Amino acid sequence: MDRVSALETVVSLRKELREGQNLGLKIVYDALTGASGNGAVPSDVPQTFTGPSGGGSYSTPAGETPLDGTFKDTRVAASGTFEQSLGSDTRWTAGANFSTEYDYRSLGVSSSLARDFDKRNTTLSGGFSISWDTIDPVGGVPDPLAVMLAATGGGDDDRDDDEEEGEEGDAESKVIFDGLLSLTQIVNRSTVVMVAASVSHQSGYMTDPYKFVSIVDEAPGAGQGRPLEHRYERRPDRRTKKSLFAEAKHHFGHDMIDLSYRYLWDDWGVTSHTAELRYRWALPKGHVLQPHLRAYRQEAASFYHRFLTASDPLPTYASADYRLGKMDAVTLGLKYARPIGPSTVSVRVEGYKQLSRDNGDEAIGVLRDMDLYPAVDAVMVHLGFSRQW
Amino acid sequence: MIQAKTWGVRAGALCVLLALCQGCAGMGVEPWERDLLAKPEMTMSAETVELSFDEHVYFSKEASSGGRGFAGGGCGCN
Repeated sequence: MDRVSALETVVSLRKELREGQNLGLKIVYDALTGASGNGAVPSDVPQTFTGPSGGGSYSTPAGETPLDGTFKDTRVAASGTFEQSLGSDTRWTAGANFSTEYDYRSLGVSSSLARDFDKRNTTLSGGFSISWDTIDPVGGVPDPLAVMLAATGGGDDDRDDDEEEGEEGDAESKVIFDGLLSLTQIVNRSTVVMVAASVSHQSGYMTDPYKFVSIVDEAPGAGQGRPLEHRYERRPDRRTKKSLFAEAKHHFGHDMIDLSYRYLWDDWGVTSHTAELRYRWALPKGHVLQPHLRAYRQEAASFYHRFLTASDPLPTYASADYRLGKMDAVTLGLKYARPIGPSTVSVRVEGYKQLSRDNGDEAIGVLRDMDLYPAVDAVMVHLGFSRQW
Repeated sequence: MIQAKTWGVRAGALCVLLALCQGCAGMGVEPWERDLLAKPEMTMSAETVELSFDEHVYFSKEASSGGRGFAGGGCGCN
């Protein structure tokens, strides 16, 4: 099932202000379009979902996965970096970034220091960043695990109706602290490796205000497995993630290969493995073709439940968001780049497929006939332009 | 509760990292051997722009993000 597609255009500029001092600016526009599963279970009857104030409703036909209405997420982001040499072996980099989406805003700053050793064969780098994010969902933030209201108004598709209902809504926010330590080592004339360790601590609102967890009827009979009610999901207000990352680049003289691996774990119970391979195939006249392969495996968050039954005690935290589930994903992509004068223009197309590793054993009643874990497919297109003055 | 297997994986990963660091002492090139290393594609920040985009896309579908670095500016994906 094709759900979300992504298109991005980027302009990236880098200028040397004076020797040892560089300024970088990046402007990004990207659009994720399509619909995303809202967490509720499909059923053998049509279902209607509403926003927190009862407006902005959308419907799902019988037998289909509930998707959260028309979904358009366009993002504009700008970031700047300033790099300053401090002596011959040390560099300080400061960054600031801003991004804005439909109902989400992020502002961040970062600072890192890099030091070379051993004739610049070894580089140690450490840094931190702080980010302030605000979410201002249409219709306001729902009460955690509150029961979804029945639709008021005419059942329109557009979520904007919530605004017309007169709801100002409450904005929520979160703060993210990131720390990173990395070591880059030249192995030989054609090989360089990097290892990195990072910690990220987030606190604040991390629930998705548009997603539900269904409470299904487990009583034997024709209605078994049908949702009795849908509740807004709730996630913890703290999350600490840690990761270990390693990357190796090897140049064959014309072509180059890049391999990387990341192991991540957090206090939500999520652990993941990410392995990537890029092969840079150098064509004549500076043209480049680069295939890309990515493999991803994730374990579910501890509070992830595909659904709850009426007799389950309501947990403190619960989410049916497929993004927190047990899954594998594969990406296959191809990039083409070519120089045009002092600029480089590139186009990249990637196909993504995600498959759940949940086998649906817990399905009861009508849910046994439903696809509780549909595959997620996406196509990403990336257009790039870069130029150095 | 963290299982023994998880601790085993983490300890193993740490050992690999430490071994890499230990092995670093004898590695490297002379300044005149940097012909390939000087190529832009051989820097670790070679494709930060695209990697940032990837971060945003994968964050919209998966529960993991980051780990590689943020020298090129944040993503605001959180």
